[in-house]
Parts: sequence; C-alpha cells; structure tokens
Amino acid sequence: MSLKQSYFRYRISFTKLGSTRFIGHLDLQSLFQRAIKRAKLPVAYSEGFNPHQLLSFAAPLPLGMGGFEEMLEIFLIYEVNVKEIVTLLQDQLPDGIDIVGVVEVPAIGRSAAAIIQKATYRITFSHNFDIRLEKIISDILTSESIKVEKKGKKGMSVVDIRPDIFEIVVDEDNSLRAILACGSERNLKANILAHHILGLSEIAQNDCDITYERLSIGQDVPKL
Amino acid sequence: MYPDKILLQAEKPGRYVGNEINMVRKNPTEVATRFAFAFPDVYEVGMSHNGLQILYALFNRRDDVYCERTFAPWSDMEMLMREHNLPLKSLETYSPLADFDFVGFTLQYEMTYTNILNMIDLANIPIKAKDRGEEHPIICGGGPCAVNPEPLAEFFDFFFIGEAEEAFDGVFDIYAKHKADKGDKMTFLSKIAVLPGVYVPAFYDVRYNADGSIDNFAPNNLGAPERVKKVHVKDMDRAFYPEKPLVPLIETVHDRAVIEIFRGCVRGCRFCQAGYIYRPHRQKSVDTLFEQAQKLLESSGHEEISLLSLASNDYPHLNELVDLLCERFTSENVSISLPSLRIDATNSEVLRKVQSVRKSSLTFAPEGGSQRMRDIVNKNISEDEILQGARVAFEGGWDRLKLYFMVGLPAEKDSDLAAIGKLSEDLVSVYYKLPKEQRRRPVSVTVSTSCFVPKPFTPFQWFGQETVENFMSKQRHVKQSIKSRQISYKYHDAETSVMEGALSRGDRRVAAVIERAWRLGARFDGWSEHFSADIWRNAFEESGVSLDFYAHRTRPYDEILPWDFIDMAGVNKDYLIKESQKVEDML
Repeated sequence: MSLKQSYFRYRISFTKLGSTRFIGHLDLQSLFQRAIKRAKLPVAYSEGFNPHQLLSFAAPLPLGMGGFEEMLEIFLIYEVNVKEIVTLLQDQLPDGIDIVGVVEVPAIGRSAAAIIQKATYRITFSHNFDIRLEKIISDILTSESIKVEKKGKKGMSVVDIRPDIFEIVVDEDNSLRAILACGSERNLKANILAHHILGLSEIAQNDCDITYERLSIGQDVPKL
Repeated sequence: MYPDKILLQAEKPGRYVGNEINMVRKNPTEVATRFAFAFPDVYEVGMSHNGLQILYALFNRRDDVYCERTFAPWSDMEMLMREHNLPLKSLETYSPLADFDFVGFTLQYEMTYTNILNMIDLANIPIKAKDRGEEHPIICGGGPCAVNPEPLAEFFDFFFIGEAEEAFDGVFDIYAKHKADKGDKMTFLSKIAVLPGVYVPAFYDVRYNADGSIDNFAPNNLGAPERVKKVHVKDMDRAFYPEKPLVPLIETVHDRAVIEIFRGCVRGCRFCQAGYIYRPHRQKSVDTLFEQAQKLLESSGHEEISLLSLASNDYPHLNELVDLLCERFTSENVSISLPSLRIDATNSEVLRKVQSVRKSSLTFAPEGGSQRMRDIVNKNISEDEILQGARVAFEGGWDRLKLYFMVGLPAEKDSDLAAIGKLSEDLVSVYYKLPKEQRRRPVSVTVSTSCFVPKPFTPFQWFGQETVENFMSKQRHVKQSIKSRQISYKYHDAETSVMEGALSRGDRRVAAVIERAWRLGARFDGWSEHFSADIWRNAFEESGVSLDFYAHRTRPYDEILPWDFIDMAGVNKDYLIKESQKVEDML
C-alpha cells in the first residue's frame, strides 16, 4: 500500500461493443494488461512472488451486453498526460473497445469499483407493447414495492426491487432507459426488471427478444 | 458474426468472433486467392499452435492472398449451427468456407480426422473430393500426419508434405495464374503435382493383394512423380517467422510468445515420429532468436516467452540465450518457459534462471522404466542421470514432478513395467535424502503412461501394436508396482491409442471407417469426454475394415507400406530396417 501513494492513478472509461461483448470479464482484464504492455505505459506492478499490473475494473458487464461507458483504473509509476494515454492505449485495443474518457484521480482513495452505486441501462424489446409501455412504467414508478421471485443460492426467494430502481424513462414504444442500483452493496440486474415489465404486458415471454446495453456506470469521467 | 441469440447460447462465444490483436484485415475482393486455414480442433487449442501463427503470417505476407481462420465448433455450437442452418464461417470476414478458393486443414493428430469431415460438412461442401465440382473450394492438408495422408486421401484434393515456408508459394503462384486463365480444378492440380512436396491422391492408383496388403502404388498421371519428396527449410535463420502474432482475446491453452530455437532432433529415439520426419536438425542463431523474441513480445504484450523445440537441452547456446532473455526482459515482468527441458546436472544454472520468475512442476520423460527398455527405444539416458536430474530439481526448490512413460513398447516384459514403479519410488527417496530444511512439503510425483502407438517413418513402423486388453493389463501392472502415497498414477485410454494406431498406419480403405465414425456421431475424438470406443468399433465393423490388420498386425519388411511413396529426405526404408534390426539383435 505504501508504494501506491507515489503512483499516479487514472480512471479510464471505454466502450465494450461489437464482438468484444462476448469477451468475459477475466479475459477483458488480460486484454487490457497486454494492451497496456504494448502501449509501453509505465504501469505499476504489485509486489510479491507473482507481480501483476495494478489495474482494477468496476462492475463486470454480463456476457453479450454492450457497454458505452465502462470503467477501469490504472496506476502508473510516473505521470503521463491524459491525452497521451488515450493515444498510446487506443492504438492497442481491438475493434469495439474505444476509450471515451480519461481522468487523473488522487492515488489514495476508494477504487472506482467501490464507489459505483448505479448504472444506466437501455432495454429494448423486439415487440411493440399492446398497451403502452409508459403506462407500465408509471405504475412501476408509483408503486411502493415491487416483489419479484429471485433465484438465489438457497433456491427461490421473493425480493423487493423497487428500492433499486432510481429512474425509468421511456424512449420509444419498445425501448426504455433505466437507472438501477449497481455495485457491491446493492445491485439489480437489468434482465430482472425487463422480465418483470414483460410480465405486466400481454406479450408472451418467449416471443420477445430483449436487448440490453449499459450506457454508463455512475462515476462520470470527462469525455474526450 | 453469428447472431447474438446463437452466440449467447454457446459456451464461450468468444471462440467464434475473431477480432484478435494483429488479425489481418484485407478486402477479400481485392486478392487473387482466398485461403481458409482450418484447424480441426477447438479455438483455444488451435490458437495455441505455433504452426498456425507461422502459416497465417506467411500466407498473408503476400498481397495477392488473404488467409483467414476457422476452427472446429464445439459440440454445443455445432448443434446450434445445424438447428439454425448456419454454415461454418471464417473469423476474419465471417465468410462461409464455401466462398474460399482453398480450405487448408492442419493435420496434427489422427483423432481430429472426424472433425475435418464435420467442418467440411458444416461448410455445406461435399466431403469427398470426387463429389466436389469447380464451384467448391480446393481442400488441402499438411502437417505431421500428412506423412501418411492415405486414410484421408478420399477427402482431399492435395496434400503438402513438409514445411510450407520453403515451397508453398509455388502453389499460390500457379493458382493466381490458373484463376486468371479460368482453368479447371484438375488442370490446376496437375500443374502443382510437379512441385516439391505436393501430393495429389487422385493422380495415383493403388492395387491390393488378396491378403489385403498393397500390391502396387503408382501414378496414373504423366506429370505426377513416382515419389513425393518432403520439403524442408534449409536455413532457419532465413526462414520466414511471424513478427506480429495473433493475440487471442479469450484465454487459450498457451497464451505466450514463442520462439522456435531449432527444428528436428539430434537424438534418435525409435518411437518418436517427430524425431524422424523433422530431420535434418536445423537451429537458429542466438542473434536471430533474440531479435525475434523482442519483436514478438513488443507486438503481443505477452508476459511469457516460450522456447520451442523437441528438446531444449540440445540447443548448444541455451545458457547464452536464456541469459540474454533474462537480462533484457526480467525487469519487464516477462517469464521464460522451457517446455521441453530435460533436467540434468549440466543445466542447473539454466534451471535456476528460469525458475527465478515462475515455478511450476517439472517434467521428465524417461519413456521406459528399465534400462533395457530405454536401450530398446534408444532413449539415451541412464538411471543415474535421471536420479541426478531429480536431485538438481529438488535442490532448486521443485517438489512437483511429472514423469512420462510408455507401455506396450516392443519386447516389453513385466519386469520392465515393474521398473516404472521402482524408478518413481527411487525418485521419491532422492527427495527424502535432502536435508529436512530443504523440504518445504511432501514431494508429489505424477506418473503418466501413454500407450505406445507405432508411427510411419520410425523403426517401429512394422510393429504390431498391443491390443486394448494387453494395454489394460500392462497399466494394472504398473499400478501394482507403485506403493508410495506420494506417487499418483495416470494412464491414457487404450481404446483411443489403438484407434490412433489404426489411423496413423492406415491406407485408403480406412477412409470408410473415418466417414462411418463421423456419421455415427464421432467428434473431438482426442477429448476423453467425447471419444466413444463403441462408435469406432462399430465403424470398423460396419465398413468391413479390420482393426487388427491395421493396428495389431506385425508387417513384414518387404510389404509395400501405404506411405512408402513419400521420400522422407534422409530417412529411407533401409535405414529404418537397420534400426529395427538393431532392436531385434538386442533381444
């Protein structure tokens, strides 16, 4: 820990789109480690027998879900201009992963992963709703509690997801944006909300494909 | 790309999306030749194969060729593809394989043969060469199993025997001209049939004797040579080598940069096909290797570099090379791995350096448990050297050893099998002779036995392989000879090895078995969870082909072998007979 004080911490936001949506979280970490290495950024390593790069990711994205503003933090052993970080790193990233922002933050302090509390999702249904989506959403937002069945380690249980819904905005007949709890303390998976909405509609669950995208995860990093 | 809906139902969808670092992007409409490099195993295995890296970069260095890749879809993905009528596609441009000029399979292992048929079929291409027309891609193959291509002859248009770096350009040159002239496939094949290394099975006829052996094997085409000469790289320092390797986005079997320190082997282990077919022994200079290592690490971002060869010890400048690499890369957190290092007292220095970065288990391959057995296979290592090597390793801090042996070798006796247990126990005793403070925890020794498979172009190519029953009784014998609780015993499946034996020394008639097995559902036969001995036994029975004839029968020296038509530069039949007779004299 002591060494970290002398390092420089950067928070980087990036997209995870196209084919990179199918790269799992651990693989994404290795992908960035190698990219950072190729970019010759002066990345800091942990001490110990198997040193590894000091980098951390916030809130893993489910496999297949597109991300427009994902986040990671890296520690460098000397200060590098944020624009230079973008240039060096972007060249080394595969199609689908684009850096959208970089900001330097104090080396000491909680990690992005620990700070994150909410995320914005776009949920798109393949079917238009027979009754208006807006009606369903306003019902959800005005109710005090929403009980859904959740599969947990100890079998099915009923949980209240209402406290984990901060905001829902209907964009089109079949598409909405939702700000949901995201992080280590509270977390609501977008598909739980989507299936609940579908349950309140007259569309058969099996008929409707649902696409999820994560538009951002809380901590704003200034855009490039 | 395949639709999201399909990919999300597949285990590890990252296998099917490409987009890797250093993937080559070209416009397929702007090249003369589209080549699909097909690896008949799952993505993670194929992407760990250095030959793929070499050929991909070699072919793509030509502006007129675009080489893309495709792998065997795992069984879950195959089901989805068949259910939704989706053809097998390339990873670079997601083009169906049927759109390519060539589909080239790498033949690394006999037990991938059913995957080859499956991939051709998933591409909606007829599996047999004679059923394919001008509109279909030309299907070719190369790699170690191509030294006996006959079991696959029916499915392929041509094979390339030897090392592509040396001569494959000739095929592309002729094809570009042929395509511009709008020639037909047979004309093209007859033009390339004269190139060194090229074998076009349709240009050769085989006649059989009443007893099933080959009576005559001869060209039926004026241009086709009597014997096909294997080609090999003459100068390894000048040979093409990739500078920007593909770096997968998902974890594969080996995620590391690879430098090839030499090709071939100076030893003459009689069971080892690689030792014969990669002759002559050719090495790279330290300068070349260091430069290649630098380029590969820089362009890949890997944190491990592996020194590839059949036996690292035989590289005369190993110490110098490891020193240079350590000096340059250790500070960058790059570790060095020597996957085929034989441990002995002479290289404790190298061992110490390699170990300074990462420590895993160490592997010894004595192959035979007794000195008699090691002499028969010409594995020039004495018991003293093995025990010494273990002591060096234990002193260096290793306490996990893996030992590899073979069972079912020629003239093997029960006492040779018991010697496997004895040698392993002696190794455990070496550990406990160390001063107590040097022993961190109990030693762990894993003994693995594989079932010996006689291979073409080795002195054992005439040897009748053991039956499944005999292999299993041998395995039991080894197990009984191991008493120590520090030793665990693993053995390869005998059924798989016998099928491998039949395929590796098969002739054209074995094609029917491969096809039958594939139709009965055989896939990924090299994977124990997929292999079904019942399917293969049925396949032999239903196609009326005798397993015994190909696997277990001892062949006379004067029989025409299916692979005799290949001129294995420097490894001629007389030499192999002499080697084989040396063993007979020992008994």
